[in-house]
Amino acid sequence: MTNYGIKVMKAGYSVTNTDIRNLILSSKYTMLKYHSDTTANLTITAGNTSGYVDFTHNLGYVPAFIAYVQHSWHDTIQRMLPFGISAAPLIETAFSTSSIVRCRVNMIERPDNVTFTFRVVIFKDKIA
Amino acid sequence: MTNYGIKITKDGYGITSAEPRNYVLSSTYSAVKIALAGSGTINVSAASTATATIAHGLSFIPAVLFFSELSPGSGKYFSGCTHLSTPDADAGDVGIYAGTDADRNPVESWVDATNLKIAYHNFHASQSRIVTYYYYFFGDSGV
Repeated sequence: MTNYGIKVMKAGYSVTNTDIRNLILSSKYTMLKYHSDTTANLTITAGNTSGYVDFTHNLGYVPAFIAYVQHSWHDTIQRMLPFGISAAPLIETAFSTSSIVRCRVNMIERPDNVTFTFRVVIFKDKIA
Repeated sequence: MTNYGIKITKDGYGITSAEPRNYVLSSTYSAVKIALAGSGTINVSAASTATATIAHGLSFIPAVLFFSELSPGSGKYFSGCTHLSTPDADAGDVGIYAGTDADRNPVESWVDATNLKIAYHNFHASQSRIVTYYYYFFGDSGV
């Protein structure tokens, strides 16, 4: 028996429907599993052009993640990383290792202090 | 009967919660299903571009997520299309900025109804590198 398990379909679709998009959930497909959801600030002071903030995960392997950033000079806009503005320039990137997720900023020198609020969702799913 | 199905809530929350964030699992909300995941490597010659083509076998353009270890063996996996600033130690310190790409964007990607394509650009004049990537295709339309 190969066609077994839990299936919940969207309204109007039978469990025999083979289009994965019509499934609400299925034991056939894995899903990303939350490990942590953390926010941290990085302030780059006037005259400086780079910085980073680390999010420790203690998983012991390289996990999948999604990172967002909010800038102090905007109100509520949250952007997904990586993000860049060539004209500024402003470059924000993120990578994961077996111990941390690091969010980084490289930017043009500014006369004022700017704060980056990073939110990182780390999953338990291993990518390396 | 309208309030039925499978519900698992986080500690401290009842199954009457109307807040989706409080659920570990709920059949009320469509889950982001992983249709396909995997990894690969690609050799990127000096001063050139190499494109990884990954077939997904789905009949639609799926949502995707991918990570790339730009510096071989570094264990640092960048998310998505990664802009880099100067010769970047985390990405290999192999002179990514040595090229002529004004956007300094060494990774480009796109997905269609057949493939995910990730184009890696190596700006170093004489050193090739092997990039390792990991990808997810989700069982939901990306467009």
